[in-house]
Amino acid sequence: MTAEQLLFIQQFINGLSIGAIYALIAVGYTMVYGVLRLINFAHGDVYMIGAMTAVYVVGWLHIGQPSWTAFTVVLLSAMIVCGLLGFLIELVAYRPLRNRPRIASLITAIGVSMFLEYGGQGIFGVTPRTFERLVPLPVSYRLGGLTIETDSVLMLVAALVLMTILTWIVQKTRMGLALRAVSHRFDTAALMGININRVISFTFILGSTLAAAAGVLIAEKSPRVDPLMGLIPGIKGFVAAVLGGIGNIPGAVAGGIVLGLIEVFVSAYIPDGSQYKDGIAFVILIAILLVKPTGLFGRNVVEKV
Amino acid sequence: MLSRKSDPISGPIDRRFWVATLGSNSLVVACICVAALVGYLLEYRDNHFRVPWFAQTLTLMMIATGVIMAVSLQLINGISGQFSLGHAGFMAVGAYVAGYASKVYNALDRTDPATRYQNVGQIVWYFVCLAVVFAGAGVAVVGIFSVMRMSRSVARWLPPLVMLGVLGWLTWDFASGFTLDVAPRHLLWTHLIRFYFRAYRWLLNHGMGPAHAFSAALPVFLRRPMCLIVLLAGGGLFAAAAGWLVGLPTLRLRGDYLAIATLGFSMILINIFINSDAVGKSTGLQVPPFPNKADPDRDPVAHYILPWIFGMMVATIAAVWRLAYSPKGRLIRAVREDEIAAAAVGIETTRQKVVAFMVGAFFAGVGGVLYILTQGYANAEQSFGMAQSLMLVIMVTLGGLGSISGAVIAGAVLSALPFIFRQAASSGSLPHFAQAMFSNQYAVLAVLLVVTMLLRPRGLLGGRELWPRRQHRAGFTPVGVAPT
Repeated sequence: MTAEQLLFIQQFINGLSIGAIYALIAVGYTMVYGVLRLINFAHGDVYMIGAMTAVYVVGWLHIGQPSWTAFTVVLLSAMIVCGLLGFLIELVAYRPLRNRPRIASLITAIGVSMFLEYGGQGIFGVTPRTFERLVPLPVSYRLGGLTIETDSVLMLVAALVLMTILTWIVQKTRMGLALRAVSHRFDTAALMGININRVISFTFILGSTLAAAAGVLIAEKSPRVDPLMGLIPGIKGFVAAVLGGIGNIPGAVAGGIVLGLIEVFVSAYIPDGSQYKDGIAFVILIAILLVKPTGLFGRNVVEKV
Repeated sequence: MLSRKSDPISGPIDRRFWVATLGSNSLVVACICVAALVGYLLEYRDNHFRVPWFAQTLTLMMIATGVIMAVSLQLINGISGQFSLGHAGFMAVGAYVAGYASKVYNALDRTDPATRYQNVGQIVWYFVCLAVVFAGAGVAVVGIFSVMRMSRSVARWLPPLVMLGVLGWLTWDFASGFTLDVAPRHLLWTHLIRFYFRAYRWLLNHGMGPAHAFSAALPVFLRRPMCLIVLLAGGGLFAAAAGWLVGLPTLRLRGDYLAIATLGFSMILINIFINSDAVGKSTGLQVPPFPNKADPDRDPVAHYILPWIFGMMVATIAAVWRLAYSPKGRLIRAVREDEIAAAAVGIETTRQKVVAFMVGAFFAGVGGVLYILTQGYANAEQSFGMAQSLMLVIMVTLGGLGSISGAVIAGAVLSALPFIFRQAASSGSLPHFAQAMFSNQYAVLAVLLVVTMLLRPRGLLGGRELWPRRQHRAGFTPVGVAPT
């Protein structure tokens, strides 16, 4: 293989792994939007709290040696903490506003997001924390002419496993059935005897857990954890959700992967492209909103008067 | 106003209408003059007295800028009912356009009185050249979009395909044009963009002589105010043009989609600004501040600008108020109340929304110009980033969506908050946790916002004004209401 082909494959793997992170975040957005028609702005900050929890758990448990047990413990504890956080956010901030205009919930979501960011600055400090590597594997493998980063592969594999679990929950369990029913038609689902409050709490917990996993995985790869780290990935997760058709879970995954690939290729192949990496996501967002607001896999919804 | 003659709703124009119009206009002008006078007196006071922290000039200037921004956003978010999350992006456009002009043409910083502020004409000409280039780009964009829209009538799946094609072509063309010194003829976009650059340079070079002669012929006492007027108008108009470009495609979207799209546009603008060499990249744009009148070296904070900043504050409030409570404003509010019903009675809904958006963007641009001139410095990411946009949304929401007086109050209070917090945090007499709280204003504001939404979701004034206008004006009787 030529050097250019090798570079392409390497960038492709990078793009897939970044895309997997966006997909994990986007799924949380898309599920909440599907159920409540609410853009949960605080979702990116839940991802930050996930990474931050990992930093603190590593500190409290005095984890020195990298091991799979340590990684699993840290990952699970971050997921549990963020699940609780998601539950609390919904209970305190969104539930009382459910019958109010949607803009009120949107503003509350902005408030919660700012609270987590700047309250986080007060609690965790402004300086970025570093994060010890937890996975007992070398940083990268050489395969032919390729250099494959372990963390990229780990991100991809972990995201795949989590997505499989998510698909099982949504498609096979009773709770998943209820979730699909609620996101299909809110009031009819309530009439069918589904406990709406429980389903919505469950949605928030599920989404926040996935975001926490994304946070821990990204902390593994690039160990700089600070209270504002969730801002940009959060918005990009939303872009991915819109790209795939908001409310559509497989669409969100596809959107995340596509977004990750586009970003990586733009920074690799366009001169000075890495500077415009963040702008590209928004260009995609606006292009999608203009041309096909329902996203790549969304259904057309006709508004009835 | 002449169109009222044939307006079936308002009825015929009588003498009372002209008296009312002229009377209230002179009231507005008087208010602006009083505000400017207050600013002028502040300047005098600053040069002669020591003032406590809460009345310091910088605090008052930031409050005035905050009020301008809050009121202009209220027009978009509250009165026209569109939810814009990217208002600081328009502020950035105004600040960067005017800041760049005043930096390059050295508009404000001439110590030699003979040549001071001689560059009015050059700045005007620079704005004209910029406008020509942007108009060309706008025509190209609108043309592509109309082609896309026309292709929809052929087949529903065609527009995305056309867009993808154009984007792919643009990327390929541009990427291959980057590496070549002499681009071959078939690289259309590359040539187009180079042509625009050449045309801009040609225009700029060939107009500068006459522009210079024009400003040299101006009387000296007019030059400084002219400089400011030109900068304010230029920044405002470019921001309004940006508002038009942003608004035309996005205002078809609803509610939260629109919010995200405006946020996206402002982030794109900021991304462009912090990657442009001409405006200082991520270090920000440094502008020579207005010199103090009495002693140019004493205080770097702009002093001459004070009358203008207060005058513009009153002018913004007056303009938004009069737009909101005019027949035009009634159309805008009708679209807010129910878009489908408004369209059904024959109101052009998109037009009303775009007008409100553009006027809001104009005053945001003016606010941006005032901001960069008072601070002498702006950084797109920190001064006009997402945090600033969210702050403006918080002002409008806490004041009450749809209430201009609410936006004035909330804008003033929230702009003063950083100064109050700084004072409280440095006073040393507070307990430790309160100190920590006061050192982080955004966290407190976030809690305030959530609590407001839970307890009083319509904000402080909730769509009402402090001084409600009479509903029935002379010559206008709403249908179905008996004349009183």
